[in-house]
Amino acid sequence: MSETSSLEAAAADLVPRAKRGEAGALEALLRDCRPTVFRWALVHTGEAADAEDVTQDVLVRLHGSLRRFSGRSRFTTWLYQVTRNEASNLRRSVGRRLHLAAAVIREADVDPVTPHDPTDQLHAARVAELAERLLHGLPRRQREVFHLADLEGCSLAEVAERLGMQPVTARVHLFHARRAIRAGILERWPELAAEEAR
Amino acid sequence: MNCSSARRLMLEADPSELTPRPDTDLGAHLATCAACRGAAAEILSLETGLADWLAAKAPRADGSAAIARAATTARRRRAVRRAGGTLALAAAAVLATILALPSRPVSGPLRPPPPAVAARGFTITTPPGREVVVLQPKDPDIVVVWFLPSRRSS
Repeated sequence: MSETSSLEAAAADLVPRAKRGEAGALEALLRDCRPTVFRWALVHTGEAADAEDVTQDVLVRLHGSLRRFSGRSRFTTWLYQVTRNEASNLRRSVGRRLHLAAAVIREADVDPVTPHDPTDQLHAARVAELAERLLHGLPRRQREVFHLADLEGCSLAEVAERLGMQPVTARVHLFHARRAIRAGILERWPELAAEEAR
Repeated sequence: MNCSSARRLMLEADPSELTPRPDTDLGAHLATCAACRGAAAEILSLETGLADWLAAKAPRADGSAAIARAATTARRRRAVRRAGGTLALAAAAVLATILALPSRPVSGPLRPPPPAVAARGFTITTPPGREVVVLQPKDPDIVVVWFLPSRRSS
């Protein structure tokens, strides 16, 4: 079961109880949502520090506005949109500060745990390289679509619903993102590059 | 299919298509070409690593403290919204009262204003020379009492 599916299952139980004002249900819901919201926010903002701020704002919104969740869409879809809105608000409010601080924060952000095995070290380094490209090299839309489709395993229809776009548009963004991510990977395969050059 | 075409397809293919399989052109090529198979495996491995890297990311701040802070902030925002609504109601009532008052002195005998107003279980006595406006917003814990200079007495 994916992380989003687990959260959806937990929310199916907790949201009605929290809306009835049952003690502890809202707190449990916030606790369950927090890591997922943080990762979504990280993909949106590209910076861990900003993702923490967005996560906190989403928790506040969730605490104050859960009654507004009508249940017409899935809880995770609604939560994703709340996270996107808060991330957009933050982006507007911090504006230039984001760019100035980015270089400093990045060093602490992409922090692979260094394994002992040299092969694993190489793998970890390349994953960190990809993470850097994902968070700081891709346009926001491509980043969002790639994350939802290829890293969270959502269908294109789900991706389109969450991001409020047509599936065909989501597909175009996904192809652009995959090309950007994978081109760097395939550069390391000189046989294929030589073949293409011929 | 040659490696160059396979490479182009690999750039955009779904992850499920990056394994040797007979039902697609790319899959068939991967089944016979070790170099492309290695490249496809590398893509899958790194993208899985990326998903794992992201899944391992967690907020640094303490969860319980963050949740408690969220609850406090949400309560404070609700209180501010409520107070804002009450002030808006009060302002609207004052405006309505001012507009309702006659612009010229009223001639003829006037009925004295009622000495007291009953509001939700308590009585408000109007001071001499004043009129009273009582506002009861939705929140049952709030009652706004407004004493206005009485223009009828002047």
